[in-house]
Amino acid sequence: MAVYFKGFGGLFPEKDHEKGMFLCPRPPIKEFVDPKESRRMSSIVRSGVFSGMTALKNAGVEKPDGIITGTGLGCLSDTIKFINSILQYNEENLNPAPFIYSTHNTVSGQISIITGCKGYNTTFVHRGISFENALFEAFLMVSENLRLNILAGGVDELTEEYIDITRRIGLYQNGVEPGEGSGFFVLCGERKGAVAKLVDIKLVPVTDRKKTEASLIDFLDRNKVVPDKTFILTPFNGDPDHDGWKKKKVLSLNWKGMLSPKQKSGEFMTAGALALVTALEMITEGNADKIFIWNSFLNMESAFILVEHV
Amino acid sequence: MEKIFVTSIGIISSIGRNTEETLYSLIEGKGGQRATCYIDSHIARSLPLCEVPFKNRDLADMAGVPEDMFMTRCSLLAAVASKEAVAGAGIRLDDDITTGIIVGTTVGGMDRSELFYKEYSKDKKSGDIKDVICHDCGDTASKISQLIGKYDFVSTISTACSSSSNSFITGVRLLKAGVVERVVAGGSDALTYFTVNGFNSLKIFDSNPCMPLDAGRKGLNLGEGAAFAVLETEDTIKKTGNIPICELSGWNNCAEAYHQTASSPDGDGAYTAMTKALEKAGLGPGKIDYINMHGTGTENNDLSESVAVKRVFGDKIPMLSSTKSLTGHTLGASGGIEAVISILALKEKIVPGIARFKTPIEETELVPVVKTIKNINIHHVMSNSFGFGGNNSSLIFSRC
Repeated sequence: MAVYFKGFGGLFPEKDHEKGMFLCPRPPIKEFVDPKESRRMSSIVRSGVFSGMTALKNAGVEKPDGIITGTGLGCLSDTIKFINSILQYNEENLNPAPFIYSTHNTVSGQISIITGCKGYNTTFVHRGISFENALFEAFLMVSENLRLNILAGGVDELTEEYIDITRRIGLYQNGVEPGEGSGFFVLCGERKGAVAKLVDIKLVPVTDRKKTEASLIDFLDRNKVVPDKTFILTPFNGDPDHDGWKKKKVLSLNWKGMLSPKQKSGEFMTAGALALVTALEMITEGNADKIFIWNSFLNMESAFILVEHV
Repeated sequence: MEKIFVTSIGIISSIGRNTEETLYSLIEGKGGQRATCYIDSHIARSLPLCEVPFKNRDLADMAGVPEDMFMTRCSLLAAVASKEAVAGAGIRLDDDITTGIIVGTTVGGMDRSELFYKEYSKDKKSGDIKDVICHDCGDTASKISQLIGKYDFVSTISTACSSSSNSFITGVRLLKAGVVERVVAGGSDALTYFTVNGFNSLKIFDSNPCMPLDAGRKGLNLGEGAAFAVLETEDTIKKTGNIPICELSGWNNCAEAYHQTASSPDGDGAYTAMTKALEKAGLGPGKIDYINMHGTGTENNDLSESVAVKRVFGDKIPMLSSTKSLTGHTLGASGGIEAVISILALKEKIVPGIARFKTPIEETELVPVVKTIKNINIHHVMSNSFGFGGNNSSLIFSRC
């Protein structure tokens, strides 16, 4: 019994040097959605639909058996658009569209409408491990029933207000650059035609350093991970306050290779989805056999994922 | 197949601050609609809303929240309800039973972040930062896990109005897979300026106390609250010694894949959720004694859900009602609140009545229970929750 990736899709941001952040280009979704339908879609929905539909296309799956999305902050731009309109028009005669599309499950809902998937549909919104929650539930579902194809992914979007407010809070400091993007994956129980194997995944919903380190050791042990035969994708975001102890832990082992995906994606709550896209690209391109991913948003919760080639 | 038991419940809404008060209100048919006093919104002031009649400070005292812990109203409501559920199941900081905490919510800390944003929108340098740092939905589950002192699995689900029903479903999955031994599942939402205006923009508010499942229904009343249930496996019960209240015997979540907000006219999503939940429970439709309907009071939902009920149950329609006529629509909390009311119905042998019902919907002619029935032997109760994005969930609770 094992769980495999049948396909994946991602939307990476590009670094805007002037603004000091990573922003996504507008993804082409004409292939998947009638332009009449997509006109109204906010950037997070476009992003999620693009990655989700690309993953399904690459997997050769038209209609998955379930859709699970993780998003840290959901449809921020529509949320802000709607609250701005309430304030501007003093609660009168408001256009309901931004409210309708502000719910956190919009991406999952829209993909279900596009694909006609009438199966399981849920959305996790638990901070820096929202995506890994989605992947974990998909992993459990496929483990229960190996015949399923489950689409799971993570997505978040940046808005000007978010950047401005988090700057005031001091959330991104010491050179940490905010980012956005999405990654979706088709999980299945079939080895044939799979692009990689999802060996194990563990969520660590604590910020405590000792407990996280203990979980890390336990995860590596239970999967018999041999560091010098395994690549590691690190959670480092560039802030020494966040990275310091994690770096010490990572460097205490002799890994085959090391990469920090947030250098390419920036930091955001579902950056783990792009870390996994990066890992699967490395595996499918033959650059790695086994990859351990440690993700953690800022100095918050952690998640561990182990993937290997088929 | 291993059974999943409910061993404890906790609830707060406009009709009661705990299980006992809620039961009293259900029996008396006492609704929580009142003129609101905590939201600064002229729309809110013009509507009957089902507000929990306590200030944040009072909620913090009820929940025993430390003074230095900053809590949104959403988290405070969750703290009050989860405290009751946790106490009832005897969950202790120092017990060694692995515990999952799953909270369903639609807007999380919006009740505070919108206060910040009102100031911020006038001047980018104003607004109290403290009000915005707990904006994200995950904050409530994190705070609850700190209060309970359990960190084995902590998560948050947001699928609009079915959010906390889905926290039960994910909870069951965790228990069956052996990820944790016990789950505290439910949800919370506070009334906000944002959601009041959202539903007002959709023009689906009744300006009077709502009349779900009635031909003359004009819309919903918004409410707030939180509710949680403690779920344990057979093995866990052997350890805790808890006596189950009932079994969570059936569940299903599915997408309707029809429309972002509207339900299909033939109630396909609701039909599938109910049918598959029955299959999971191994029950024929004739076995359901009572359905706690999603029954929001809107034109679209109540018709679509009634059509689906007729399709599932045919001539043998179970007793049914919508307790949203009393609690209002509590959005992300509603699945949890109605699951807890369904569990309470089994525990206390009642079938809660619907308020203000006069005329059945012409197309379906379903007649709900009007006056709460007491001392009635019921064995299986279904609780429906449907949300934006075409998200449909049904749970079945069975006497054990």
